Amino acid sequence: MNITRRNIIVSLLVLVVPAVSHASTKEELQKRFKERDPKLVELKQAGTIGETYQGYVELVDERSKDKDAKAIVDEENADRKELYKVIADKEGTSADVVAERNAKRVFEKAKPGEYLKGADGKWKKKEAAK
Amino acid sequence: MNGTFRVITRRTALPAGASLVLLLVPSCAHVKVDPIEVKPIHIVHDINIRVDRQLDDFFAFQEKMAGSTQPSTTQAAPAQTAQAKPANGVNP
Repeated sequence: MNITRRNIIVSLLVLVVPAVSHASTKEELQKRFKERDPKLVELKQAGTIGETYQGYVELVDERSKDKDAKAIVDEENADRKELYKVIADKEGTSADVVAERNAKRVFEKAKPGEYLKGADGKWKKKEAAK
Repeated sequence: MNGTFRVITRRTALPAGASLVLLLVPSCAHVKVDPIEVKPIHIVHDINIRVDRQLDDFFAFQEKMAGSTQPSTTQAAPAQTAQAKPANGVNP
């Protein structure tokens, strides 16, 4: 009897725990984005990283040995990928569409001097609005 | 008089008949127009708006964070102009 009960509890834990811990909630994602934002802004303004038209960030100089910048880029992109999926699932669209919409948003909000990578794969510095 | 009337009638009957035919032909013609599909465009547009709103809401903190750093730079500006402004009667 005890063994059966224990088995049921263990089985439930095995099923429930990964489901809960796997995907981050929107709040958890937002917390991580918030924590990373000052460093991300700093790297963008320094011209170390830039936004791409696919909705992700990249190192402007691929050969850069800045490990911190690379780590920030990887973390940001992993969280963006997750966020795009969360929004896509909610709105009944694909993560690529959400990524594309975010790229449009960040391109518009980018400050002069920041690097943006267009569909042609070339980096361009955003110019000040005339 | 009767002959003139006949000529006039013939002269007018032809164009009148022709124009009547021309008027009737389009009304008889059955023009089939393919349905204009506006719905998918509306749906795509609607999804884009909803996605944009979700993204704006999610990243609203960025504006607040950027805004919290801006006042320090904007506050410094009046102090500089006050210093730069010469006192009354003093020429630079």
